[in-house]
Amino acid sequence: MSEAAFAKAPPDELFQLETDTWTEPYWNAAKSHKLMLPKCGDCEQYCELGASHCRHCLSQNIKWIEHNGSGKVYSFTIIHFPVIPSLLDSVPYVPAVIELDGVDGIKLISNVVNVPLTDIEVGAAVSLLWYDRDDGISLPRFTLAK
Amino acid sequence: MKIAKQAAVVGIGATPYYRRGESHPQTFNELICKAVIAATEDAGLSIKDVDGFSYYCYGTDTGLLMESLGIPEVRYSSMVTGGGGGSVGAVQNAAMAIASGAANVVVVPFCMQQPVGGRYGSIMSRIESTPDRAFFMAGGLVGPGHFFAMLAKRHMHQYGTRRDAFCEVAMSTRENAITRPGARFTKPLTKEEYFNGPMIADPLCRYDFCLENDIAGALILTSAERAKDLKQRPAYVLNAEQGGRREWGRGISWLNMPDKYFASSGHGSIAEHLYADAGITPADVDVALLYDHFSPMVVMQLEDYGFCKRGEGGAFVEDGNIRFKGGSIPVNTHGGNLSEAYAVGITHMIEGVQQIRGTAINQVKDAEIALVTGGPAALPVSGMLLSR
Repeated sequence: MSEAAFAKAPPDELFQLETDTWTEPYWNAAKSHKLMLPKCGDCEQYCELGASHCRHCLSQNIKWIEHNGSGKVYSFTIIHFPVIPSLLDSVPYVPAVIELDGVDGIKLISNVVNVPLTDIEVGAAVSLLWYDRDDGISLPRFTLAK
Repeated sequence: MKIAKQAAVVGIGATPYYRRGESHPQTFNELICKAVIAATEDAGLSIKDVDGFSYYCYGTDTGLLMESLGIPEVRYSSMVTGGGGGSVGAVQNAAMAIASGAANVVVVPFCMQQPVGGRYGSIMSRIESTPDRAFFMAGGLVGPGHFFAMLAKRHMHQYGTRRDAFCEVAMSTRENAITRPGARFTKPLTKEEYFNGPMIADPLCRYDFCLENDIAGALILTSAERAKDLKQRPAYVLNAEQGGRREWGRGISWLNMPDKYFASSGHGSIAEHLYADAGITPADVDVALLYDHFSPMVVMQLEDYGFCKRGEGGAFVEDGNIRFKGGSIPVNTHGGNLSEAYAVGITHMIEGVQQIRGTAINQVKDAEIALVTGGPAALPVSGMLLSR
């Protein structure tokens, strides 16, 4: 793993974005590099990403609140084996579950990129960086906080 | 569920366990038919006695089976939603159909046949993109192992679980497969081999992953009354349960489980109801057939099913507790998904029945109660107790 000891990223072709009424605000905001999280306008609690109702009070008054993307690695894995050919040039990459600071009830599934694999651990502080694809989709990714 | 011992598994059948993709040119429907015919013969029933089908994990077409098998009339046909989590939920549905009088002889069939050139291990790269899946697909999670690796990593962090525990699950399961003629892997696995195995999705190495096979299997259930006069010793459905809690929800395709649930198998509530309604405790279980798609999920199920405390699963297996020989709770005596074969839960059900009959190859002496579980996966998950 000598020169490959840096966390890379999964290939674009694995992911085609489909949106609906309740996820479109998230992905639209991503285009302008804003990480927006759904919060109930009535009971003020965070809602599930993509849900049509607030699970706490069943309101549909969902507001999108910007978050600065600072958080911690809740868990992660390092993908070493290219189970399909399109992963060949992308391994090793690091899918991770990110706990965002001050947010109770939403964890993000994303990637930790651009850092030595050996530096990544559960609990490590991360910051947000945006990855802009050629097709206009932007993805929130994370790297270890300085 | 409170219909203890009103229905029983009276027949089991299966095709050979093929390496993935090697069952072709037999067709999917053909493989299921072969398993169902074998199960009716095992039970001493005629195929014409069958009047119900109970499926899980996408099931198959009842009408098509009736055409091929000449089944005159069906009065019950249902399917558990979700994937492998619901496997033994299909036995619950069958038992309920029988207890309620909806049907008399219900088959639980399952077939897994890999497409030529494709493999289950990359299934998430082939499924349709949907808005709800976007949140995980963007992260490059293409195989089930990629998700379960994160549960395992969290378990290690939270409880100090070591890879040695996952290794012990893999080694003890392999040990059980050695004596099984149909098993895909029958050479002992050493600790050295395990730790030298290629890392696939850290912390999961090659030996933490289940196999990928082509298999059809079937169980036949009927009423306790009718079971008495059939060929085999009945394996009564003591209890069965399907569902789970919101905190687990879509499980791996969500990964938003709160702390208490993240590093678990999602089976906690299933276990509680299963034991309480049956009036037993984990100490009454003689053998556990735990869905082992990934070795760490065996550790987490041992915790959820109360064989040890939360967080102590690693030490529990490292102490030898799940060994067929000398363990306090023998696990996956058939060699499991890790070493015998993988077909989304049907092989665990078949082994559960054989343990209760007393005819298992690695027979747990005087086994009276067997626990069989569905996969830790998106809800519903499921568990059942078979008994003499």
